[in-house]
Amino acid sequence: MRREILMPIVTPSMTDGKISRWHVAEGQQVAAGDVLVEIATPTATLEIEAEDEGHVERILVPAGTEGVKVNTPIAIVLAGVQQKPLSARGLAQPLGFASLDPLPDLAPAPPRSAETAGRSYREALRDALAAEMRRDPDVFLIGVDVAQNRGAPKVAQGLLDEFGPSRVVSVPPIEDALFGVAVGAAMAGLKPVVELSHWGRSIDSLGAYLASAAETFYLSGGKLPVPIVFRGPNGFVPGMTGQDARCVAAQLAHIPGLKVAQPATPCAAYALLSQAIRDPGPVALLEHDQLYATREQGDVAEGGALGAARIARAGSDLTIAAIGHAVFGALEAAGRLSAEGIEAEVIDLMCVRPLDRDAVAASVARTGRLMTLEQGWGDGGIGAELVASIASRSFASLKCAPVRLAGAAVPMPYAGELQAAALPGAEQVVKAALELLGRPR
Amino acid sequence: MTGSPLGPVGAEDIMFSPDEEIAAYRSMLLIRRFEEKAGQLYALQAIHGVCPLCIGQEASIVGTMMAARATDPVITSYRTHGALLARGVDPRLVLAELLGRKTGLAQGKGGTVRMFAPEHHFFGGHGTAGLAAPLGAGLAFASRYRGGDDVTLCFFGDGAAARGRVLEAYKIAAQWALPIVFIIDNNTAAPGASIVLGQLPSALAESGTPVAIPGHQVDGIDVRRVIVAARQAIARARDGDGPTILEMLTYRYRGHGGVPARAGASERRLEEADPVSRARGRILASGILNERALKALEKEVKESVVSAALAARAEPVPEAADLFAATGA
Repeated sequence: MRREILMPIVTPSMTDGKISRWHVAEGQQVAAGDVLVEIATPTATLEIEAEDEGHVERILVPAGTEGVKVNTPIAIVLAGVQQKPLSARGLAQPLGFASLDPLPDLAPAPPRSAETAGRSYREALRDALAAEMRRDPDVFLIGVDVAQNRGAPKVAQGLLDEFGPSRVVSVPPIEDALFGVAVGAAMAGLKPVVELSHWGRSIDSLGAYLASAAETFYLSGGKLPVPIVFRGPNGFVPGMTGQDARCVAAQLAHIPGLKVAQPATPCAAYALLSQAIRDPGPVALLEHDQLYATREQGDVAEGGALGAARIARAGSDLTIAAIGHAVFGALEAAGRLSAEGIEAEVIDLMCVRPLDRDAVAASVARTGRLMTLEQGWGDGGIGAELVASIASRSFASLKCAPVRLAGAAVPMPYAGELQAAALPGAEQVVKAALELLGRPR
Repeated sequence: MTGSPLGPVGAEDIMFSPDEEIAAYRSMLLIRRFEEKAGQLYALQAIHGVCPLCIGQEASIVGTMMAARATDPVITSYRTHGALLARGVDPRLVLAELLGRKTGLAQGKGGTVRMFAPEHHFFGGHGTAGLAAPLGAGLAFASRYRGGDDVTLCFFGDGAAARGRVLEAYKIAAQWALPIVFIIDNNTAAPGASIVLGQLPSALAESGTPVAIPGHQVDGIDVRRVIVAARQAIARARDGDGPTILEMLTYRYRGHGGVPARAGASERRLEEADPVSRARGRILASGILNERALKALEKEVKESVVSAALAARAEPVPEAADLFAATGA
């Protein structure tokens, strides 16, 4: 696995530092714990050690260089132990930002064109933010350490340089203050985009503020709109457990006044974030750790609309309605089913609220079979809502009972094997589809 | 006034113009009469749910508002009525809302706890304890963001002041020197409160000490002292020097929904702790108005509340079809 060594933040106020010495050379074999490099700031020095066995592929910044900005890649190390890819179990993109492969940070200034040639999900979010911030001076980004450290999901890169600290607002890790300032500012008419380090982690301290943002327009008799966007990674993150990897999509469907979007692709991320910022009410944007590095050729103008599902793959034999990262599991399964002569239609739901029941009903009218797929819990989930809805309005279209696939009803466990078993993957989709079509293996 | 809790100013001879004295008295009296009316309507079950009244806390609200500009944002706990009236919102709209009328301030959607009047720079009305503090920091942030010099007035009670989110709001307000004044109405009536007016010390004024926010204990019974303290705190915030905490020592007479806040309180004690009767006594003693002129003013205020209540009660209730108006999503 290729691992970037980034210029570390030795002290909180540090913006750059000096590479005082390399202890290794390119091509050199290192063991875990070997000192790689020595970093100096005016107040401190720090040695960086190898995290793993491997060899130094490249040294990007030579010894003696001063003014190296924090988080700049300074070397690339190839870890000796190859990690088993999770994609075999139906996870399309096993890349967290802890193990960067396509390096989003290497992209220079935010591109000003609307083209999305090969843009990553992470870059799409940043570009949408930047475009909206250029368009409307009331739009600002706020989050824990969002300026200097570019926030936990590293979406905010380049924004501090362009917009400065008054519009890329870093808050210390005190979430009541963060959410209160953001919602209060929105009540005063500004348009904050609040970055969460992770939805599952933040949802409890966020509760009262999210409810306040969502309720106020209605409870004020339509007098006080609260234009605000909450965005950040939701659900599964490799190696993270419990609430740090919890999916809150279905939970957010129970907050009247809140729109909830869950883009799966870079173009959708761009389109939905842009629309969320322009929306007069509060919108929750659920991103996914394993999608940030994914890339897509495409046009953001066709990225979709809040409340509208899209057909990710056309088919005539069954409808698989999926959302967020699960869309890729559905697509992978559809590919395998096609090899067996079954054409599945994959609907990317895009939004939990409003939920595009019409699109699913139209698809089921063509296929007669419905399967739902989500990474969150099944109980009271998005699939439950869809199945109930389709059963009551399109009962006659259904040739067989619908099937729901969802995340296992356990707190997300730690071991890689258990994590893979907790998420519904392509294998389960294929199996359930064959049963649905009366061709069990 | 000997023996009463002291504000940041010790001066007994605070000078106010006759006009200011009368304006403060009229505003406090309007709130008093309004709250009494709301309490009656609650007892008659014309108002349902809860109905938190601020009888006894009028000086804290009126004095602070008089020291502020009309554009300075205001945010409160669920105890909303007094601040709305002091901000100049029509009592009929507030009563109509309490009565659940279609013509109410929030069209019968918000009730007592959630009233918003952005046209008067009044941003609610927040039911969750202490929520006003971090949201208030957001209002102050917005003023700063826009380059204005408005100062947010953020009201909450002694109970809410113990919530963690209030301390987080202090932290961010101090760190960014936000233009905000935190007004803690220490009405000594929070559930489990053991503070007795004028006897046991309270240190809520010092609750910003860990983040170096200065605080002052203010005699919240004397509207003049409230105005002086609020002027200082607001001027400090407007000059960019950051937040101040004002702990208003008040004495709330009624519980939520008009239930007596304390049984067995002596008449004499209640009389001493009444900001309205104290202002009246001062006006009379200083000869600003004579008894007859005062009675005329009081009659006028009372009639305005009575007619507002009559009008509000005659207004239409919402129809079921209004349920889905302004859902926003």
